[in-house]
Amino acid sequence: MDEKMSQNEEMKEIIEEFIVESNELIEKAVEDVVRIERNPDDELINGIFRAVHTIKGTSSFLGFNMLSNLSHKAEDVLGRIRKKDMEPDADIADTLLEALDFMKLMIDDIRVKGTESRDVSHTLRKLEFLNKADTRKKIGEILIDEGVISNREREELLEKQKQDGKKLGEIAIEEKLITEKQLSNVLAKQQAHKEEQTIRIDVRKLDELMNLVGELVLGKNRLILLDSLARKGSNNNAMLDTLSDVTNYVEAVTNDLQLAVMRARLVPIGKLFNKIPRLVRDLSGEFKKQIDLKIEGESTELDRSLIEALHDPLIHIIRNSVDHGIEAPAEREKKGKSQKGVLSIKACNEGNQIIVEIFDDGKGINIQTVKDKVKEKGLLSEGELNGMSTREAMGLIFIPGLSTAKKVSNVSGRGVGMDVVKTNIEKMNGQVYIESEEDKWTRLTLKLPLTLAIMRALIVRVNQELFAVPLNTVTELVKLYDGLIKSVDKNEALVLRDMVIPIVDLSKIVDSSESRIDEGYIVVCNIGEKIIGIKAHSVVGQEEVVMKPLGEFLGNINGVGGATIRGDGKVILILDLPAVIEHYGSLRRGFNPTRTFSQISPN
Amino acid sequence: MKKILIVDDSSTIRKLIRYILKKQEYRITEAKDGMDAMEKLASLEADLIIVDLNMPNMDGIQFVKNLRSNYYYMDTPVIMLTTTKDAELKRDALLAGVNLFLNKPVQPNFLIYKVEGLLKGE
Repeated sequence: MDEKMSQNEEMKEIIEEFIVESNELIEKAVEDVVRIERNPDDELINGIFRAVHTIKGTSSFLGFNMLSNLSHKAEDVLGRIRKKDMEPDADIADTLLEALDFMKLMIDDIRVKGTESRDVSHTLRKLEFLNKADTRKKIGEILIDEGVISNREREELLEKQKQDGKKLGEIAIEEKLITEKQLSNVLAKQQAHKEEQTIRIDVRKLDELMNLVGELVLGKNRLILLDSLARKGSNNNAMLDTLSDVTNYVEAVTNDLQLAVMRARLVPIGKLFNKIPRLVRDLSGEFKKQIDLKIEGESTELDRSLIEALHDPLIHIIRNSVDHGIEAPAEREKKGKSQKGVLSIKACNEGNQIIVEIFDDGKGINIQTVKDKVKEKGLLSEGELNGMSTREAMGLIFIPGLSTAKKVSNVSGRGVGMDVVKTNIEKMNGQVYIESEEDKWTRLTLKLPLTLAIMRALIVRVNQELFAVPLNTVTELVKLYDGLIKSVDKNEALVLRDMVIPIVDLSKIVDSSESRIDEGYIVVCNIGEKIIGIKAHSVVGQEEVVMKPLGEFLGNINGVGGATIRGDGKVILILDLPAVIEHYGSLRRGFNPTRTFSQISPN
Repeated sequence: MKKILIVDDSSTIRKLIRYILKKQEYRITEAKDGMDAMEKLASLEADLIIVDLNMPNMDGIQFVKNLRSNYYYMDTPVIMLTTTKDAELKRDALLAGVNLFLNKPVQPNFLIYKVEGLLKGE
């Protein structure tokens, strides 16, 4: 019995290995197939062949016969390409990609259900067709054999082929006679699937380690405090020395461990970027755009969870660029641009942050259209709109429910607008900026932290409460003095150089009994396009804080992102600045939210 | 304890063979391609080698050729596991010095039987 169980256990392990290995191979093969179309490099073709060959072998070993059969057929096609029996063109690449997509789906099936079940007869036929010598010229006939098109339709296709010299298959897709729908269906399903975990370390273990490190950081804070207390009160020098030693040691170990764990969790963003060529290839086909894709900085590393969270926003931004940004070739020519649009995606490190930049040389953003739309929807008044700087007006594109595209296309209009992109990026403690010049270009810049769990924060005191402000948002501190704060429309504002900065007075929300803040500091914070100042009685200093969620009961409180424990064991709240801004904005309009800081004072 | 080297670029296959041969109590070492295998063999005195045909860096046939040019491994039994039906490749492999061809997927008991036999010098 025991032996049987351990056998099962081992078999499960082998199948898990198979799933991880095969997914990696397929992912790589998909990238390479997209590449060979343009650059039929022998080494690339060999690599794809080997990947498919390996999957064929392992799947047959494990008794996944459907998968084995499909990969066998794909391998035969690749074998012919390898022997230079045929040139890999778009048709062949399409079929191979379709086969690889199905292989991935089958492996997902195996992961979920333990067995694969897919109707791949269509793909198998296509592969077999490619394997027959010189049959590809008669693609029309095969389509008739399969009952996909009628004889008359084929005549029409051939007629069109004579006119524009494209491949029959391409025309057939353009004429909506074959498979595009199937392909997009498969792609949509693939999208819906959660990605396989690809670091070869159990992520739960890593998360555990990360939590431990979090605790250790708290311990370090405690020790540092204890050390300073003891120094003040105790005369026992030996004890003090030991304590100092321990403190130094713990501090060093903690720092090292923290870095090591962070590094272990960092994944090159290439994992995400590698999917882009395929996406852009499919999208440019769909929208009949010509796109020159440039990708830079694939080796830039960031936290695994951030890579996952970045996936949807990034894909959405790219879809937007292809669909609404880059113009159709004819339109571009009229504007004196080259027919091919440029889409460039870059990632780089900037201090403790990662910058991801998505640039296209498309039609840019017409600010007036955006403003009109905002006015039309009654989101802001004309006066408010007129008073806006160009930068602020650009930021309007992130307002929820705003879509400036005239017609919602099936790709971009999937119910997610730029507002969702912004929300998702801000959830990761990141920021989004947009810049654009009409008819010329648009650039979206995403700023993301390296990791989520530990961050540097500025600790400020408001009345008797301490708050942590994420340091990456703080731009400067301004000392308060009489007359510094002006009243604008009954709201307080600070005029700093040429900027008018609205002031948030947390003391009004925290505890109304205390006196107003007349001296202290204004903490100027910059989030995306917005700048606010937070009034504080005093500034305690910079600290590394470990973000702890508030839990179910206290979660979702406006303006609070989480809490942390300080050296003295006291819990302090970490401000969620985007939410503070939103909250403050709604207060200004006389709207009273039901749950505020006052109910959750952490004492 | 007899030492077996498994050379295959697929980690799944390596795990599987290890699993099939588990009861026999061999000391099993894995290599991910021909090149890796040559390096491992420098310190490992393998009694039997199970090798894949198609691998990156150094494929099975080239590996066996290199292996046979080493005095120490001139007679070490080599099983080649493959899916190929290409008769020419099989001939090349046999000429290079492969002792036995087995087609993937191999029957576990058959593999055990053949490994035992080759180790006994049959």
